[in-house]
Amino acid sequence: MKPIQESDSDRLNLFMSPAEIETAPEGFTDKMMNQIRMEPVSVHSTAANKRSLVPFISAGITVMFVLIAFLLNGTESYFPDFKWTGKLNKISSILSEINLPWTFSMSLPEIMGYVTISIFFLLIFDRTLSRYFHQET
Amino acid sequence: MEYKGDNYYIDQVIAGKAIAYSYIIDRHKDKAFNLAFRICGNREDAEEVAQDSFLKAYRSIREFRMKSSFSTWLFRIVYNTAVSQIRSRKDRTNSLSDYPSESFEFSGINEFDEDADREHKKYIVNQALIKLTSEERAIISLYYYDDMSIDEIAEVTGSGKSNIKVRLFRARQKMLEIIEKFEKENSVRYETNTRI
Repeated sequence: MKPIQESDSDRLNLFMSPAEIETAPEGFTDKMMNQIRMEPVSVHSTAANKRSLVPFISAGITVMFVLIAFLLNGTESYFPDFKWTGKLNKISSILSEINLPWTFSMSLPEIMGYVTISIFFLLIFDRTLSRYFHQET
Repeated sequence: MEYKGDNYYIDQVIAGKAIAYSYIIDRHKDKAFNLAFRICGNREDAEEVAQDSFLKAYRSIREFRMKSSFSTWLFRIVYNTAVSQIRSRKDRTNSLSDYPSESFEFSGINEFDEDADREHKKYIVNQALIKLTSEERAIISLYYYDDMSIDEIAEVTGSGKSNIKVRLFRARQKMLEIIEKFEKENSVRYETNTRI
């Protein structure tokens, strides 16, 4: 609601006021309800359920990236010395030594940097396209 | 029956009781239709826009966060639907003007009508609204017919507050000029009629 002083001394108030509105045609609500009854309710709930999964998927991917980052950190052992972390440290050191001949003899951790940047750019590209097509529809 | 508030019926709709939406429609249909009418300029398009908007609101009712009022959220949908409809029509007809004056519906002046003065005012307002852009018409409509504040209009239109203030000022000036011109013409016509 606008402040009272704003509406004072405004000549247009004489011509336009909430009492002067154009009302909806008769039977508008019934017509609308007929359309709404034909709406597939299940579709909406499925879409909403899918949407509610987004934070969990996002969290899962983040955890996965953190694990990969630890596993590919190089020869140093980042995991504390417990029995069950010994295997992770072993995997980490093995992965860091892998050299792929088709990638200009870069090691796996080096490639991961490029892969991450590429994913980032693809993500921006994807968001842009999605926004564009969403507006189109 | 007493209206229990938008949020109560929204919860009912989300719970699967589609019939609860009829109370929401009943509550907001006139204001939604009025906004659509002011932007589109004719009742047919306004009805289509209002229907589309209520349907869109129903489909995405789960996304309504209840941070703002339901009417503000619904008005935003009506505003976007009406503006995009006008744009698509403009693309199709390749029209230069925002809205052709001939297509704006208005009630004629009936001197024998009890509400002649009211009808006359309506006519003048519609003639003045034609000269505005669809966005300006929306701002004027929200401000005067829906009694909304600058903050609320900014939320509905998705524009900044200062932008709304400037556009409202310009639209108001334009309308006042047109109204004054109309009144002058009418008084001249009245004087000549009385002389005859």
